[in-house]
Amino acid sequence: MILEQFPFLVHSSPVLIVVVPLMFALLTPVIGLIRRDWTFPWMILALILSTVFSVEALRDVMLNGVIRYRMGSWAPPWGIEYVIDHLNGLMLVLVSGTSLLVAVYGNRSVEQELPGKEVYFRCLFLLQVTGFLGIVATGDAFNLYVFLEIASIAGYALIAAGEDGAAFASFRYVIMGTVGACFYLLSVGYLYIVTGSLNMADLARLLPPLYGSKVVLTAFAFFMVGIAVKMALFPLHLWLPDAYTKAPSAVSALVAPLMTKVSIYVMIRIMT
Amino acid sequence: MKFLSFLITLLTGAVLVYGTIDMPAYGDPDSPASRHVSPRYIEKTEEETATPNMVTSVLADYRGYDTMGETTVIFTAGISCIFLLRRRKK
Amino acid sequence: MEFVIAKYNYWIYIILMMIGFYAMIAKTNLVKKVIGMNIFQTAIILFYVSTAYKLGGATLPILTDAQAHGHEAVEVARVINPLPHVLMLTAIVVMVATLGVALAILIHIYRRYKTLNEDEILKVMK
Repeated sequence: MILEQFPFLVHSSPVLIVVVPLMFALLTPVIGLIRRDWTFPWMILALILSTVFSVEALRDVMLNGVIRYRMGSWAPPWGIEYVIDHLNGLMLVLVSGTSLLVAVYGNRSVEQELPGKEVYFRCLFLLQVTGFLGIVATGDAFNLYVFLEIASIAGYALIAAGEDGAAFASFRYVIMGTVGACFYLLSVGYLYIVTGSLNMADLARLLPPLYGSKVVLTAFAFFMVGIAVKMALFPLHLWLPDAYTKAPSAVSALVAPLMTKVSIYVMIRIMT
Repeated sequence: MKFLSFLITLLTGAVLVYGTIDMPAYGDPDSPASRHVSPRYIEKTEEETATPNMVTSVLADYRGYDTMGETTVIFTAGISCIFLLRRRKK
Repeated sequence: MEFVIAKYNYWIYIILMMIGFYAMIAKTNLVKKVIGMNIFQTAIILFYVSTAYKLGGATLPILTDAQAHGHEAVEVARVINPLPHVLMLTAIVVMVATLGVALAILIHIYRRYKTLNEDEILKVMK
């Protein structure tokens, strides 16, 4: 894109990918109070900007190698950093592009199935996209937990608004999703107790001498179970069929490809 | 069904306890968690952030992005409650 | 047996976690499941916070006046570790938000089915 010759935008594109939908989501209820019809172009604008920034980040990675962006200019183990490499960049483009398409084409079904609540639906949609993009872009294990919870809470509410049995299906998803996220938090805690660091690159450096230790083994086991619950891997997939069939159609189109695949991304990231 | 749940709970607890065998003891000042990242937070909080409260300086300065994520979580929960529970007055 | 005595804090919180986990998966009343979820998450938070303590009379992670103006040095081994406390502040907020959304979904279920027992709801849904 020749649009971004402003070096500031290119340099801070990793964080803008996540922050732009967030800021737009915070203002969506305000816009909805002024005029309800304006929330749809507002949401589409947020997703277009996010897609443009993620394409820009991917192009930057392909030209210059791995991008490391430090939040607040603190060096990595003491501050949070965003690491964008080729896998990340591609997933960011996929997530933001898919959500843009779902938002455009799902608009009609949202207006039919949820009359009167479209403003809040669009706000939650943007928040869930923020959560997914944050999970994919971050390089810090605890930050991943925070954004995982943002995406999950928005998902619980979106699925519960569907047709007749949706609330119970969503409740089952609440219980199993919370178990998964808490197991993830436990595994991050065990790794912190035994290494002292929360940054993913730092953990990759500090863990190999400790591979035989029982703490690392337990942490890995809990991480696998937690992510498997979120990913609907075989014995723990009970929440998936009801949640997808009973949710509103646009929500199914959004959550179905993204939630599970983002969890697979997290698993790949920890294994390497 | 309840017996199966009890078994799963015991198994999970046993795996967790198995994991604590290699952990540092309670209150050990030499554990990796208090030697790697924390000393810089403790020693440099006054000169780098001008805040005598270390928890605040970590929460708002070194790890301020997590705090932004946490306020987003509260906002999401609030919007979810409005979305689910509001009824049109007929 | 001395490793039990040395790490009794971890064991207590693991027992508390398992009480919450059992309530979450085995009870049939939906409100009891939500309370079990709350117990489980609170026990995880306490588990983390207990790893921050240092024996030997360590103080809170706040600088006194003399230390703040540079008159007195700060010893790392006398001050407890502030990082788990920070992480758990965020985790507490996430726990409250999840509790709020779970209860909102419960209200939605109650308005529709007029009961909060899982077996009866499954029977009505068939």
